[in-house]
Amino acid sequence: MIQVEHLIFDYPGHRALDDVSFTIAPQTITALVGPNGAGKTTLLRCLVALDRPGAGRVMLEELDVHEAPREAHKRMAFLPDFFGVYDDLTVRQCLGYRARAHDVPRERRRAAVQRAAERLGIADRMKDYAGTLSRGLKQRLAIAQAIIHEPRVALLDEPAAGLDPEARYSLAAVFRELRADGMTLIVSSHILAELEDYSTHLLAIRDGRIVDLRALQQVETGEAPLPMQLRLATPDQRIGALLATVAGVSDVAIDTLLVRFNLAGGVQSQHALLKRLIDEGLPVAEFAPIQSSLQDSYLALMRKQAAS
Amino acid sequence: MNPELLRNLWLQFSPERLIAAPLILGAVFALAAYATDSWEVVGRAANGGYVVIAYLWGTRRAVNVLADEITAGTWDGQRMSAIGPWTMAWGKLIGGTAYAWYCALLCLATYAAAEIESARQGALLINLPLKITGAMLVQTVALLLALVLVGKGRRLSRRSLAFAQGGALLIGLFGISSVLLPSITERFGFGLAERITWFGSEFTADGFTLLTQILFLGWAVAAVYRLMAGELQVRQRPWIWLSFSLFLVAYYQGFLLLGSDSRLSLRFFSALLVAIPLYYLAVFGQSNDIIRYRWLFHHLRHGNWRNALSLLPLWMPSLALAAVLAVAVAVLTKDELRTLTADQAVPRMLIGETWSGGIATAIALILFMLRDLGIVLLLNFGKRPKAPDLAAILYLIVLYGVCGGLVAAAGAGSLLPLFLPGAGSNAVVVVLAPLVQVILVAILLQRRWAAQTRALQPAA
Repeated sequence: MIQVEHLIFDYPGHRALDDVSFTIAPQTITALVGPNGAGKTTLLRCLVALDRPGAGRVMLEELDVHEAPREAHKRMAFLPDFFGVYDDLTVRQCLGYRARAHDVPRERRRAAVQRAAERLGIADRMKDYAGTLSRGLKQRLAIAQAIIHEPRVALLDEPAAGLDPEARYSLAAVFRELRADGMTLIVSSHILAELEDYSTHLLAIRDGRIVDLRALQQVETGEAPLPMQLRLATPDQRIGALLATVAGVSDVAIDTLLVRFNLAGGVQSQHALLKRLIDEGLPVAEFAPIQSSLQDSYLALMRKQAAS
Repeated sequence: MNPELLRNLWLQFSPERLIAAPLILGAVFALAAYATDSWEVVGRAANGGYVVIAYLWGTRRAVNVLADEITAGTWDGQRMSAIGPWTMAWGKLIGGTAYAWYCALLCLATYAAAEIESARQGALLINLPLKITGAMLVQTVALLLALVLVGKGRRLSRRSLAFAQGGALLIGLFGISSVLLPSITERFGFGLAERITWFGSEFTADGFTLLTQILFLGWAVAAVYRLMAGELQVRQRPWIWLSFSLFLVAYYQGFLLLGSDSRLSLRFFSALLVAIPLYYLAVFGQSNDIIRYRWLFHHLRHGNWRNALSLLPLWMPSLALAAVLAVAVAVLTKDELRTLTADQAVPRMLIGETWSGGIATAIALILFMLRDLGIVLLLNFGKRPKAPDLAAILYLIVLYGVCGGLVAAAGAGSLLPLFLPGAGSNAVVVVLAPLVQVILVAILLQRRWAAQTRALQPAA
C-alpha cells in the first residue's frame, strides 16, 4: 500500500530522517512510536507530501506522492497534531467545504458529508458552529473532514492528545471501524496503551531511523514462538520432563508452581499441549500466552537501541 | 464553484454584514451631502472611502487570508486538499478580499454617481479602471509578499504582516501607480508627466499607468500562482521568474527614445540597471537555508537535473543575466558610455569621472554581486540565524554607503574600488579589490558550510 524508499530529510545541522525505508500493508493500523524528536511528525509530513524530502521516495500504490502531490491527496488523509477547524462555519459547512476541496463529485457530496458525520458520531451537530464544539467533538470533526473523500490511507499525528478517556475509547472504535471499511491507518501517539487497543503493527523510530516494524498480533499468525505461562495447582515434578518432549517448546523456566516457556505453532500447538497436560493428569490451573504490552515491547526496544 | 472562494463567501457574507455595509456607508455619504449640499464633496468622500477600504483594508485582508489559516492551524488541511495552486491562488485573492470589495464598490458607485452629477463623467472611463486595477494590484502584491515570507520560513507575526501590507502599499501606490512613474519619466527625460512615449507610441499618463497596472497585475498574479504552487509542493521551475525578468528589461527599454540602429550601449546599460535589482530581489526573496543548497549540490553532483532545477535559486539565472549584460555593455560599447554621459540622462553616480569602463568594470560588478551573495549566505547558514536578511542588508548599507561615502569624503580615491564596483582608473585594482573580498567571504562560507554539515551523514 505504502512503500517508503531511502527517505532522507534534513533540518539545518540535524538529520531528521536517515535513510528510512519500510512498507505498510493494506488495511492495517500501524502505531508509529518513538521518543520526542525521533522524527515521527517529520516522517508523517513527508509521507503525505506536506514536506519534500531531500532524497528518497514515497509510493502510494503506483503513485509517487512527491511527483503528484495533488493526486496523492485525493487518496490520502492527514490529521496534524496541531489542527484547526473553521470556528465560524457550521459543522455541515466545514464538511461541505472539505468535500468540495477534495473534488468529491457534486452528486455524491451530500451523502459523503452525512456519512463522514455519522462515522464520527457528529451527525446530530450539523447545525452547530465548529467553534462551539468541545475539544473531543472538534477532534471528531477534524477527522471527519480529513476522511470525507474516503481516502485509501489516513495518517494521524497524536489524534488522542487532550482527549478524555471516554473520547479516546470512542476514537479507538472509530479507527477499528475505518480499518474494517478497508482503510489503512498510521497513527502516531505517545499513549501506547491506547495504540494497543487498535493497532495491528508497530513502527518504531529513533533518531530518524526505523528500529522496528512488526505485526503486533502474533497469536493470529502463529509464526513466531510465543511466550507462554502455565500455573499448577500443586507442585508436580513431571512437568519439566513432559515439556522437554513437546515439539516447538523452548526456553523452559520452572519456579515451583509457575512454568514459563516459548511455544511455536500458534493456537493449534497450544491446544495440543494443553490437551496432553490434562490427559497426563497434571494439575493445570492456568495456561495462557504471556501478554506483553505494547509499552513493555516499546521500552525493551528503546533500551536495546540505546545500549547498541 | 471554487471551494476556497465559496468558503470565504460563507465566512464573510452573513445577511447582517450584507445589510450593514450599504447602511453605514450610505449614512456617511448622506451626511456629507446634507452638510455641504455638494456632489463634489460626496465624490471626494466616496473616493477617500474607496482608497481606505480597497487599499488599506483590502491589503490587510489579502495578507490575513493566509495568516489566519496558519494561525488557526487549517493551512495544512488546505495543503492536503486536492485544490490546485491556481484555484487556491485566485480563491484566496478574490475570496479573502470579497467583503472589502463589496464595500469598496459601494464607494466607487457613489463616486461615479457624484462625478456624473458634477458633469465629469468623461474622466470616469479611465478613472474607474485605474482605481480598480490599482487596488487589485496592491492586494495581489500583499498576498505575494505574505507568501514570500511564508516561503522563507517566517512566522506571519504582526510585524511580518505589517511588512507585507506596507510593502504592497509602497509598491502599489508609489512604485508603478499614478504617482512615481510620471515623475521618474519626467526627471530622466524619458517622457512627460502628461504624455508618455513607450516603444514609439504615445500614451496619456493615466492611460499608460492603467496599461502598466494591468501588466504588473498579471505578473503579480503569476507570482502568487508560483509561490502557491511551491506551498502546495508542486515542483518549481525558474521559468516564470526568467520571463518576468525579460519582461521588465523590455518594459524599461520602451522608454528609450532611440533609433534601432544607434546607442546600443544605452540599451544594454538600461537592461543592466534592471537586471541588478532583480538579482538582489531574487537573493532576498527566496529561502536561503543551507539544506536547500546542500541538496541542490547533491543533485547536481549526481546529475539529477530535474531535482536540481526545482531547487535552483532564482538568483542564479538573474546573476547570469546581469553578468551577460555587464559584459555586453563593456565589450560591445567600449567608450561609448563615457561620451553618453555628456548628453544623456544616465545616472551620473554610476557613470562619472571615476568610471574605469571596459571589461574590468563588468568583472568588478559581477564580483561585488558575488561578494554580497556570500554575505547573505554566510548569515543565513548560521547555526541559529536571527533575521539574517535584515543583518545582511545592514552590512551592505555599511559597506556601500557608509564606508564608500567616508572614503569618498576623505578623498581617499585609491580605496574606492574596495567599496564601489568600477570605481577608479586602474583596471587591475578595480578587479583585485572585490576579488580579495570574494575570496575572503568564500573561505568564511566554506568553514560555516563544513561546520553545519558535519552533523549530517553523507547524502545517499
